[in-house]
Amino acid sequence: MIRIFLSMKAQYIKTEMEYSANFWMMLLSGVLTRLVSMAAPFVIYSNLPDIAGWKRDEIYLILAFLFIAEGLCSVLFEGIWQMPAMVFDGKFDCILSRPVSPLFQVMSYGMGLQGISVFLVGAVSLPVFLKRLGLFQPQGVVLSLFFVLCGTLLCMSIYLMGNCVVFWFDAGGRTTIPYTLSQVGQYARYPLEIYPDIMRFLLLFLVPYGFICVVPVEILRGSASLIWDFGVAGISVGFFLLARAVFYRGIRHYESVGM
Amino acid sequence: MRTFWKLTAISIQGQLYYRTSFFINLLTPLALLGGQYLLWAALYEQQGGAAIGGMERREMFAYILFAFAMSNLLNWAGENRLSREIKTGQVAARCVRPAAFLTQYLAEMTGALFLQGIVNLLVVLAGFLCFGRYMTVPSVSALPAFILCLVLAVALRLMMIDVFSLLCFFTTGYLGISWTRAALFDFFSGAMIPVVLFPGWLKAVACYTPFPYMLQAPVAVLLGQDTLVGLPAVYGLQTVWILIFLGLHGLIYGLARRNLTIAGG
Repeated sequence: MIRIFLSMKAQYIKTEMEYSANFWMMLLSGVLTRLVSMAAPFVIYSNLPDIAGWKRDEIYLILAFLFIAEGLCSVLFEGIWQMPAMVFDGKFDCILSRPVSPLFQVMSYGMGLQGISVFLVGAVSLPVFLKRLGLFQPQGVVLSLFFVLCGTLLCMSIYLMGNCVVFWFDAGGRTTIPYTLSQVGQYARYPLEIYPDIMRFLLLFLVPYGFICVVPVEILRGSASLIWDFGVAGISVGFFLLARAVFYRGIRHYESVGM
Repeated sequence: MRTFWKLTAISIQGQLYYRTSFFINLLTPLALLGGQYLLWAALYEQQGGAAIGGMERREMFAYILFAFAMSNLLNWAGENRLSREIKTGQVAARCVRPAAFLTQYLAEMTGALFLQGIVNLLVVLAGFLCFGRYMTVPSVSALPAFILCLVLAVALRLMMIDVFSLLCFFTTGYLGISWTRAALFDFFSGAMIPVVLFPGWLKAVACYTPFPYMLQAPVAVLLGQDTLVGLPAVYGLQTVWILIFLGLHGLIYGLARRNLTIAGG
């Protein structure tokens, strides 16, 4: 299955590279959007000495984890974002008629080229800021890799659940709900302790971006205990199972073309 | 003008076709507005209520509300409609209709932002009714200057989106172009963070781009804040940028038409 998955991705990237202007534009947009995201804390820190005791480099480390997860999701699981259009256009019927898991087919469909550069921005930032914060040690590196893995799984699950709304109401192939859910992540770019309890609950347990980027940095900087590692893993696996259940529940509700 | 309003009405009808989706899409950005408030409320709380970058808490709260209302005048689907049509080839239909390409585009976008504009106005009114005591209330005397600035800002934004969309004739895809445009707009227009908070050099860079005149300037005029370049210069720069984008539209559309091949003819 992994071999099929990777060879499908290889075909997609070959196809996309045929259109060179679009290919480079997508890569550029990935870098640019992430640089702009990094500019926001830069501006805030040029007006404030710190945010709840967090240094600027720690905020950039949060962003690095987020970028890697978003980038990998875009490269590996872009098909999730194509679901609303697939359902609306009737292409989802083809997915259901093939003798392979529909979830696998959706995930392996397409490829977000900008994800390559988003991932690269994150992958370059992560060691740089780990080093600047004195966390570039074996334990920090191993933990970071573990958080990247969990974060990617969690990010994919959030995208999947958001896009599954297409099974329940017609939206002409488009809805802003998944986009809004993904945008909620921008509030997980800052320490969660600055927010009221309801927002913390939202970012930790409803749209758990906090576990993709903030909690990992809290663990690395020592403000959260290592036991939270299990929390990160548990939430990631739990959310994936939940997203998978929502997806298959949605398929049962799917009424084929013309819904 | 009759053609324009007819196309605007068709666009409004199109927007309302998927009603559930339409209303959900109108209201989902409110979640992001709530997040913006919580973030800035926390930052001001941390400062003990002191001004940040010269902006008092009341000013910032009013700014966030107006900036939200203006930046969300168009949603992602609306902004990218022309780009999608270029990608799929449906743009051919626009080229054969007996109305200018730009007229059709502006009419459609007017229809799209008309409905969202009404909702945003209601959100602003509700925001002031419920939380007005925490915000700077705009002065009525600022309204005439604001309305002119707003009209120019919306026209400028529509022209900018049009020019970026036309670039899709040369790239075969639109996401890269749209994301780049959206990222530049969100940051340099002040939709994310007010431009007055930028460090001096970054503020100077922003002023050389068209983006602050699409959002920061009208909101600043309404709230009596620093417009960065002075009110007459704001109007002048808005007009100049609109003319530049009109020129670019003519240039790019001309190039695209020369190379456009429509299947079957």
